[in-house]
Amino acid sequence: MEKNRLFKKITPLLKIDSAVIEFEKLNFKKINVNKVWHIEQLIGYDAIILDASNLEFARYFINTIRSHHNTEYYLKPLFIYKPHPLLDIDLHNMYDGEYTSEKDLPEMKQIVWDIFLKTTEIEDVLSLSYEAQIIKRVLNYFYTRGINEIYCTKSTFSNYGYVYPMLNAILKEDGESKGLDLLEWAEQEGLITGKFHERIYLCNKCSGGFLSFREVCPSCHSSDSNTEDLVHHFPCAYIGPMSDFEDQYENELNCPKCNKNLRHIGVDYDKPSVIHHCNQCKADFQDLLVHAKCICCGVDTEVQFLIPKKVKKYEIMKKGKLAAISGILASESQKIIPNMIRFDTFKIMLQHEIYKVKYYKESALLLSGIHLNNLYELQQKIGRHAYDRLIHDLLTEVKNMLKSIDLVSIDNDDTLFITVLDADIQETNDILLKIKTLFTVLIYDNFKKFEVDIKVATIDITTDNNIEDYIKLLKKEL
Amino acid sequence: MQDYLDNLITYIFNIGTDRFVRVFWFFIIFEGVRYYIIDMFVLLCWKIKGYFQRDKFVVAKKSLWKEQPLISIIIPGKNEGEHIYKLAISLKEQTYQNFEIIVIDDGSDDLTPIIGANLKNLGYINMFIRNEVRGGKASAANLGMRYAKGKYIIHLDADCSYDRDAIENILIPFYRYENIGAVGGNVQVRNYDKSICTRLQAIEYANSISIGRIVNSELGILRIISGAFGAFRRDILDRLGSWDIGPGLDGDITVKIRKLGYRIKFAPDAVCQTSVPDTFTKLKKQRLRWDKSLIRFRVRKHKDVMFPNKNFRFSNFFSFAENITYNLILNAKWYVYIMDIIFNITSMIQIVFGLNIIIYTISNILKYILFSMFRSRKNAPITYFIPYLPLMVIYYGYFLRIVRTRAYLQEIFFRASYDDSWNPQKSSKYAKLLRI
Ligand SMILES: [Zn+2]
Ligand SMILES: [Zn+2]
Ligand SMILES: [Zn+2]
Repeated sequence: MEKNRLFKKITPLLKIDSAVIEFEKLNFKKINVNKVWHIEQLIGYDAIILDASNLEFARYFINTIRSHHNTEYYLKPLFIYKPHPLLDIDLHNMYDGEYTSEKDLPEMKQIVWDIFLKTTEIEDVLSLSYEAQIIKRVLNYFYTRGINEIYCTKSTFSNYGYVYPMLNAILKEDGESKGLDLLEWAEQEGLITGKFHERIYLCNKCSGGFLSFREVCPSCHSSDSNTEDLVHHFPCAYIGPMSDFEDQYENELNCPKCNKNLRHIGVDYDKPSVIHHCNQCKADFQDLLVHAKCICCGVDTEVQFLIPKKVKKYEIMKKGKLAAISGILASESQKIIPNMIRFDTFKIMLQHEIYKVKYYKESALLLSGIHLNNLYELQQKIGRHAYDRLIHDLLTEVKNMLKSIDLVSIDNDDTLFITVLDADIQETNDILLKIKTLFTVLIYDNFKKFEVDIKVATIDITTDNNIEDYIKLLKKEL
Repeated sequence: MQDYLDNLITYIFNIGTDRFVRVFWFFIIFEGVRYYIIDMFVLLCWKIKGYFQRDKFVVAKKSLWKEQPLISIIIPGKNEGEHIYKLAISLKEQTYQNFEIIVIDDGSDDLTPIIGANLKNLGYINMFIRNEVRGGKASAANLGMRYAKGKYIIHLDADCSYDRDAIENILIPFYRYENIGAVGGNVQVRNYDKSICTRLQAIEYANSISIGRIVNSELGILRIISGAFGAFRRDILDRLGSWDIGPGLDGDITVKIRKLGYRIKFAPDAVCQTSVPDTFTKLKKQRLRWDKSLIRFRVRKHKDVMFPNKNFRFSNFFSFAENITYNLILNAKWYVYIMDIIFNITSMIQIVFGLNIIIYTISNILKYILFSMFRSRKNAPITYFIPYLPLMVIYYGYFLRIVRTRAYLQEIFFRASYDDSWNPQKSSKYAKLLRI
């Protein structure tokens, strides 16, 4: 994923400065612009005083230590010295105070001790999912600082236009806008609670938020078009664009049909509408499409395919604070579709069905699969959000066509699995064909004639093979 | 009643030729000659000619398919969204496919704009232009024309449906005959089984359109192309600036094309089905509007074709004279006839009216059966309509005639068509001022 960063990275110089202030058993390491440092060299110092007069350097330094995965660095107390006036805008809450002179040291000492005490409470849990790990780092930081709110600030340094302290710094390499999903996840887990702040739209390819909205021609998507009023001349019923009436030589409007002068709008003529003319493909049309061009990756999409996101201001809940201390009890992350059985649950239920069939030998059990072979191409076109909605709609359609005892689920590879009880293969194949046709038509009609490639197959479940073997077997058939 | 029937029968058996002519002069002189003898003769000629020139038809069809010109189908209308959807999809079934569909939404206030935009996005129609402010049927059609790219223009109504070969068949006459300016399609009643009113109209359409227009077309006096289905040469429409303000714009454009010296043909095998008013009240309203246009366009706007001038053409004169004679003058003459019967044959009046109904019914049945041979496509078997034929005496003779009289009087004395809500006020006001 190529990215057009809006800030420059500073390559650290190699000289090391070792100015250290000692105060009541605490040592504060002073870091200056141009004086080079290496992150390991910060070990052993209790706190840092950063000369923040150079905005770029300060930003780089703060982001670097705060995004480090080791608590030793990212929780280290940090004070700034001679701050640049613009510093606070996007580094809000990322440092612990300002150092102006030695008289500030007693207060700073108190802050450092508070952080130390809280840091000792923090439990590092390693076996967490990726989302959980990142959120835990954010929560850890805020817990040690005694801050209860995670506020966002507008910033051009974020590729979606907003910065959350800590989160954006940590996510830089993985795509900052993922942070919004992470926060949403944390909210679902009850760790934080959000209040609506703003709605934003993101590029469906790179999740960038710097978009240029333009009206484009519906046939060739060029934004090179002219707009004209349509003019209706009442006496002769002629109607055409304004340019039909314009006289090259005289500055007046003449009707091309009856040669009369247009005199007074509303009396002998009016303008019932407007029409656009594309200068590229020469099409005339009224329905300008609105397209958004992503400044970061250059992709040009219809606005309906942008990803809508809510930017919220969050408050950390009790569970969130506990999570910092004890680790997070997170739900396993998986494709979750409302009202649908998750794939792991499906596997358990299928296993159960197989046992029943084996022991009671009274009902036949079939396992059908529907593989949407090239659906990922559509995902690239319409974006994750619209895609998830589509999957949901498709699954709902399938459910409606089946008996209520039949189970449906989808794995991460766009394969739908269906268990069919007490039906013969022929009957089942008929239903599968119906589903296949329905999907093809639905997708074709709704997504600009996208031709989805669908494979269907059914296997008979008789013996007590391993459930994974059945799934493998079915996938081979598809 | 028994007495009445006895009297009637006695009267019939004792009536001599002189007496018959004296009492039924109106029927014999006008309707008999024009609508039976001439029609029958022309239809026979048409059939025979068609048989001997069928190779020319084949050649015409071949040259159409060889050239395959682009056709612009324009569909103007207000609040026609749901119809447009059905129509656009059914047009995909046409045998002739090289066409673009341009839909003009004339200030709809329902879901039409959304439906139209969707149909365009899905590729069912090529262009959807909407006027936020209504401009009337003529301006809507003209707007479609402004953006049409085809060599021929086909004007359709959104609420009609078309036979699979209708587009192909309406185009063939352009290749079959010389100097054709426009071709009219055959309009049939789709909802003929809805009510008595629609059944009677189905019979009327079968007579006056399916048969009447073959005759007029053969005689070279066809003077109207239904808005529901008409094909035009695009260059001619451009020359004329397309349509002028209606109502009656279908007739008006035809006259303007004739005035340029082009011929108008009727294509009986280009069939379109339309829904007609299903109650007499609605029908009355529709016909008042249509009939007013005879005065407005024939008698006022295009009166010049009646007089010798540089644009004079005998066929145009004949077409007009025939139209005015058979509609305006005969309508007046009929009242003279009624007066004649009431005042001069007072004693026998009941008998004469009874006989009148019998004669008209018999002639209608005969005519209907005879002419059925010339209708290539029928919407229902002949026997379906026969029971309703006696009612046609009342429908034609009284209902339509009275509506027509009222329309003529309103238009002659009050220029009522200019106040018709069919056109927006802004256009009507101007039309009245300019006397067009
Ligand atoms: Zn274009
Ligand atoms: Zn004009
Ligand atoms: Zn992008």
